[in-house]
Amino acid sequence: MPDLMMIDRVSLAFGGIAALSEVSVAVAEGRVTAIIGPNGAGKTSLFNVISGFYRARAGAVTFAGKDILALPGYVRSKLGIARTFQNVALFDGMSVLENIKLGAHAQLGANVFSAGIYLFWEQREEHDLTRRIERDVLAFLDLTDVSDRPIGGLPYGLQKRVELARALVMRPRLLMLDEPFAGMNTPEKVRMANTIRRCVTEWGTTVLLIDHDMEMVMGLSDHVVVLNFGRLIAAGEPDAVRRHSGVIDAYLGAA
Amino acid sequence: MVSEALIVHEPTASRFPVGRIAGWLLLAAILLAFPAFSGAYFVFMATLVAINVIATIGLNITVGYAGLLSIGHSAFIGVGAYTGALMAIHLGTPLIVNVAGGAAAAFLVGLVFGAPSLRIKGIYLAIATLAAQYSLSFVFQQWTAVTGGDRGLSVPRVDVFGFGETGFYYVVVALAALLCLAARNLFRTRIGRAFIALRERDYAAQVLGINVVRYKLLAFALGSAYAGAAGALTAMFLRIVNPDQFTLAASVFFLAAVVVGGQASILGSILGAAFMTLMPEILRAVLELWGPGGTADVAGFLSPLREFIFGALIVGFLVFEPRGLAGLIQRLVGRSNN
Repeated sequence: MPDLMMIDRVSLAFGGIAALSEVSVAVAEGRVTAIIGPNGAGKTSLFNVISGFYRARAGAVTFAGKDILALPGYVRSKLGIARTFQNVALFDGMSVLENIKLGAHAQLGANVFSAGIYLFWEQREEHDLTRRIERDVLAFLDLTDVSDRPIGGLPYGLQKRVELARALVMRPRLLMLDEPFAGMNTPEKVRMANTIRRCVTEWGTTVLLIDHDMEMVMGLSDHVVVLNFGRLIAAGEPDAVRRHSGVIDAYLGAA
Repeated sequence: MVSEALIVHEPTASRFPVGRIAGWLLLAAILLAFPAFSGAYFVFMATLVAINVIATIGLNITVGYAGLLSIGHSAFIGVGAYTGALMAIHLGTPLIVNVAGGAAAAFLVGLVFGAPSLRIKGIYLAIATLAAQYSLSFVFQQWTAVTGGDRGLSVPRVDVFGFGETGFYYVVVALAALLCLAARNLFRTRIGRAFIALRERDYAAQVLGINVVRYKLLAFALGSAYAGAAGALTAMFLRIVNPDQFTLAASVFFLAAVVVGGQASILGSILGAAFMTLMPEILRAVLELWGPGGTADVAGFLSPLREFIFGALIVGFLVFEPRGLAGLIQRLVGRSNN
């Protein structure tokens, strides 16, 4: 498989403190790549460099042949990079459906005038989007029954699925998941893992994920990358990483 | 912030909404017939309310929906008022063109003064919008050659369809209705969703492909454009424009209208503007009716009492119904449905 995204010797510092030191990761297309490591290892920082929240001090990130670090964050998402957040970043004031619709923002064409008039074209666009979400996303993630409910008050596991739905509605080439299993019970975790697997097998989505749950990560991933104190200490297939002595010292041994 | 569902949901049922259409027709009939069974004073007040509704919706787009706190709103109303007045005086353009001109000018000025919202939010942004308030007030006062300075401008009389004040009332009400509808529609599409996304979590908005810079400026400028339209209407209606109309107190008036009516609600904007415009008048009438008659001492006492009650009512709303008049109505309707 060719690499969809190449993270090449990325370094990031806050003040004088190095958060990432020359981290390189190859994200293979159509595979699940996982980043693991203890708290503070720089996993989410790496995600934030890719999303454009942090500016890398050095290094490059190439997505589908384009250097994306020079692009504004919202343009990166238009290239087909979607993500979820560690602490679910949904919009409480909106319903489940409205939240999911936000994921399709860049694919829609409404401008201020056409939106204000809201006849013919815009009505059709909203209608089509609603149908598409109902058909492809709500059913896939089993959210049909809650689509009109406001986000506030929904159980946490369900909110995680809504956030995944919002990321999937744009049919991303790369799906970045920041701790998709956090705060879930075992059946919810298994269900989430199955959903992620189906994204890969049925839609050909490439997945890059962060999580602490070793069992889930090892079972789900094709490729595992281990960070510790902002440095890459191991990378390879799950079984190889599991046996790597540095990893056992830094992370697994501590558990 | 407001945590209820803020977006108008289209009912998915395809049957013809007879009851709703009947309701709208009834409202239209009442608004149409209103001047026929009420005096000049009431038509005047109704026109003022409709103008203030437009300005309040604008501020609600910026503050309530997009979460960009502004206390410089009346300065943008001023930009629209001066633009509209100058067009009427020097170009002799028709009313509706002046209103469009006022809105366009305020939109552009709003883009400029919206720039601080790209870096700061909340109370810091509010203070930055004071810059708009004071620098524009300064321009209104000091650019005498154009604005007429403290004396201001007097605007030629507009006679709509030969109906005079009543014709003006119809134009303003129709325009207010159209602008309400446009604002409501906005929040059915990606534009309105993007505004709400900015308010709640702008970092997540960026990841969804929303150009945060563009949408923040748009939310600010669009609110200003509504203010500009209202300003041009005010100028043509009162036929005078001077710097005293566009003070910080006027900006706070509209902020109060947004909060009392209900943030991020079109209905709330309408109710809030009506409340803030009419309540002082209603209190005056009530106090004159019930108060002990006549002497100068009593009159000197009644005026502050009126302000006091007005203030107490606003505080009451903040305490007992943080979602404003719109929230109150929703609760009442919800109760009667159950």
